[in-house]
Amino acid sequence: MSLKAEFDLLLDWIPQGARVLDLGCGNAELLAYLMKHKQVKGVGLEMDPLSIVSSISNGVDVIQADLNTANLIEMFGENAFDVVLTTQTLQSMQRPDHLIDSMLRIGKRAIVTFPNFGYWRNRLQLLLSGKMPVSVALPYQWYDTPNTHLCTFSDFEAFCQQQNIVILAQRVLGAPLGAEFSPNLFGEVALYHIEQGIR
Amino acid sequence: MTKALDYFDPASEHGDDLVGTLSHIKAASLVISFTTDWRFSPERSLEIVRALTQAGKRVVYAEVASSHGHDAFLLPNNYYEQVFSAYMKRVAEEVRS
Repeated sequence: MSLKAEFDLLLDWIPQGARVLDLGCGNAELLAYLMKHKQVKGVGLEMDPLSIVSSISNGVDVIQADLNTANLIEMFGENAFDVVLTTQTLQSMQRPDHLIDSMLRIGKRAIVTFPNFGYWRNRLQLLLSGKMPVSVALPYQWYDTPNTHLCTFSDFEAFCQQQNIVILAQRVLGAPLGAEFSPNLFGEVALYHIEQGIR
Repeated sequence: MTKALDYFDPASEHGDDLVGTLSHIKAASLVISFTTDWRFSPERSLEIVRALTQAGKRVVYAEVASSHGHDAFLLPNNYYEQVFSAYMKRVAEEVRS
């Protein structure tokens, strides 16, 4: 499972020439990829200085800001983007619900990706060893993890329903066959394409 | 000089609309602020970044941690130099291509 696999899975959710914002863009590899393949007008938000320098070197416009405190609506205005993305960042936010709400205000549509805490290996580790799961997708110990808001696919889908967020599509990384039959058990990472229903 | 700095308001000649003022810019911009600069604080720089973004302009923004206040831009600072260097390299590439 690589980042590249994630990129390919979300490529057809990005309209040609779209205005795209990536929250927590890292070294802006994804935006550079989308600029190349979909000619998007890309902007990244990132906090880490090293990643800012890499993003600039990768030819991507990046704004240094802390996603936990930045006021995205004030910064960009409503409906400023066609797509707002966040990959593997949601679970480390202080308030993932606030972030998703902002994403769906500043953008027409959003794409979020996150690891599934309900993945069968995680369940098995907790069940058998009685310890918090550690894996490639969740490589931290309980005391040093930035992932303070882990959830399962079912949790996320229940949240969307409660907030009247429409799930346009969902894709799963992990065991491709099992994931089709029961994503919340066999999917390791999910990508969701969402938009706001009536608030 | 200090007064001139204090009273400088780029939007004053454009109906106090900073987005309108900056919409005339044709170039891409790089905005850098220093955390301890109270003469021109990061909040003010962010106002410019916001206005540029809302005017649909390209902008890169970096906030440099420094304890040297407004004059930090005159002193050696690794992150500041890296951002500047990476950006200028990008400009050079864009000019060449």
